[in-house]
Amino acid sequence: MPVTKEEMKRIGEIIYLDLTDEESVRFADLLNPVLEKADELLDGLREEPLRHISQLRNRLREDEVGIPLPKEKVLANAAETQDGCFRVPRILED
Amino acid sequence: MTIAGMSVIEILEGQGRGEFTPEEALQAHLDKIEGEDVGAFLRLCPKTSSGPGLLQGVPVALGDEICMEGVETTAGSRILTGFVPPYQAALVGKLQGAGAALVGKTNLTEFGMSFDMDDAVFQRTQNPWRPGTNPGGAAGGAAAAVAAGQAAAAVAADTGGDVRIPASFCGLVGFVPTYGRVSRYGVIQHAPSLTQVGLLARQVGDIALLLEVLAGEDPQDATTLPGTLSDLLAQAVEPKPLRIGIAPDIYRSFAGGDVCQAAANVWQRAAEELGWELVEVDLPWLELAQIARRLIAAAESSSTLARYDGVRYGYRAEDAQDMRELFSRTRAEGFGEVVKGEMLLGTYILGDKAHYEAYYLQALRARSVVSKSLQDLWGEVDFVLTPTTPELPGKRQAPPEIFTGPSNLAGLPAISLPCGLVDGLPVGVQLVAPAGEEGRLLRAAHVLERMIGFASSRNGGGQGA
Repeated sequence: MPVTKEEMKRIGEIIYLDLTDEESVRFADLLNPVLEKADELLDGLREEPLRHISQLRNRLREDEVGIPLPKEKVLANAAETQDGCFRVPRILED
Repeated sequence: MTIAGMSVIEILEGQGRGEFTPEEALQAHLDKIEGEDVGAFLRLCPKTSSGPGLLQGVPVALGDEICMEGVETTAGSRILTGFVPPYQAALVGKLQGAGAALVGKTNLTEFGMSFDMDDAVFQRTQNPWRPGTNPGGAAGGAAAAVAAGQAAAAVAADTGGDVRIPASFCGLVGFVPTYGRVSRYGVIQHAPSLTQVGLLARQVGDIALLLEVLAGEDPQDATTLPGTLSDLLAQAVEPKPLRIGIAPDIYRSFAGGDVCQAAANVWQRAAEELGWELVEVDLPWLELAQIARRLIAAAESSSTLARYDGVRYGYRAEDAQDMRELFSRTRAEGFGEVVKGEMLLGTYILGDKAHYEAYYLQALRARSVVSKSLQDLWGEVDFVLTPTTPELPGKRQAPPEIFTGPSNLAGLPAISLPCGLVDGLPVGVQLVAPAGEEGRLLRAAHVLERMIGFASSRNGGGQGA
């Protein structure tokens, strides 16, 4: 079943990527051939899924207090800061 | 020979003979950048050699997806404009610890998501062999820099052929080690389960030195492999002739005739001159691997790129009235078309149970098919030899990653060697090896490189010699 313009728009909203009607159509047209190919090639596979190529186990370490990145260095990359915090548009009503 | 255009080993030998200093070596490469603009670098950040080591005074370029503390790092995306990492990629520290000089950050397609450098966001990069021609991607800037003699070697991420494809187009050696051999800490990636840190250089010996420096366990990257590598090219006698797997019919179904012939010339000569045994193998899953790799990369992208929202770093849309508008406008304005398409694809296939099962889960099953098939092949052959790319630059009939993607899916080491010219442009052959067999792979590639003799046929058109 091909992806529709409406479906594309909904997917865009999920990832905070608001699409115009024209973009929704364009991306649906881009994705549909990929999905068609995937339908053709992937259907019927029964092997155990290989989720990660690495066979290594997770490594653990002691939970020790350390020195994090300096706050001022981290904040230096933000477009807006205030009082040592990231500044964003208002999220609460008055 | 001028310094710019020398291999890593030639630079080390030249310094050893007292012919030039590390500072002069770096300056020669910077002068070359000034003199020949191929659009390889997004920004220069020359740092002279910090002292003795395996790579003392060797000028190395870094893909712009590799974080250098204090140097703007964008991964080729507008959304990271202005991002200055407060920390350093582990591999940068290792290069500097080995005495390498750093030249600058090279161009790539946005987050390395396209193999076509025409998709790069910030600037066009030329193939030094023929200006106006695509150098291949995603690491096209890194390859162009080395091919033009603007760096002796380069390091960049490879998620499906991003280093090997431009290596093939630019007449270089491109290499990926076993998954986890080199730390990815501080390397910006869109598909972490597929990404291997790749190397670009003029000859196999250069790659061996770089790998010896970069390989090793890193507590900051839980996927790194234990142990170090040394003396990779030390001659070990093979107990019997190498067995090389080839699949000529399958190659012909994807690749152009000239490209197939170039690869066939290599394996025929290897059989005649080196006594290598040719074994016809079946690789019926190449197309399956291509679509599976694409879907897995897209799915991982939908997660890894969620962090770019304009709040903590990078580009931020102006005058947003609320958080929703801030996020959506920042991402709409900051991401390019290719990245948006991949994120949408990834979210679609993860977005509900039916799509997850039909696409993502099936792609993981396909990954299993490819990995097991290659595992079985290692009982029959020592390496698999393929063309690196199906076509010359600029042609788009077949997926460019059709031969390179499977090694990323299976986490295997692979190397692309230049094997000749077609219509005046380089083409490459690829050797793929079992996991953990970088030493054998590099030794075989070294033998093959000497047999091919491409290095000695380098001309001034792009080789900087």
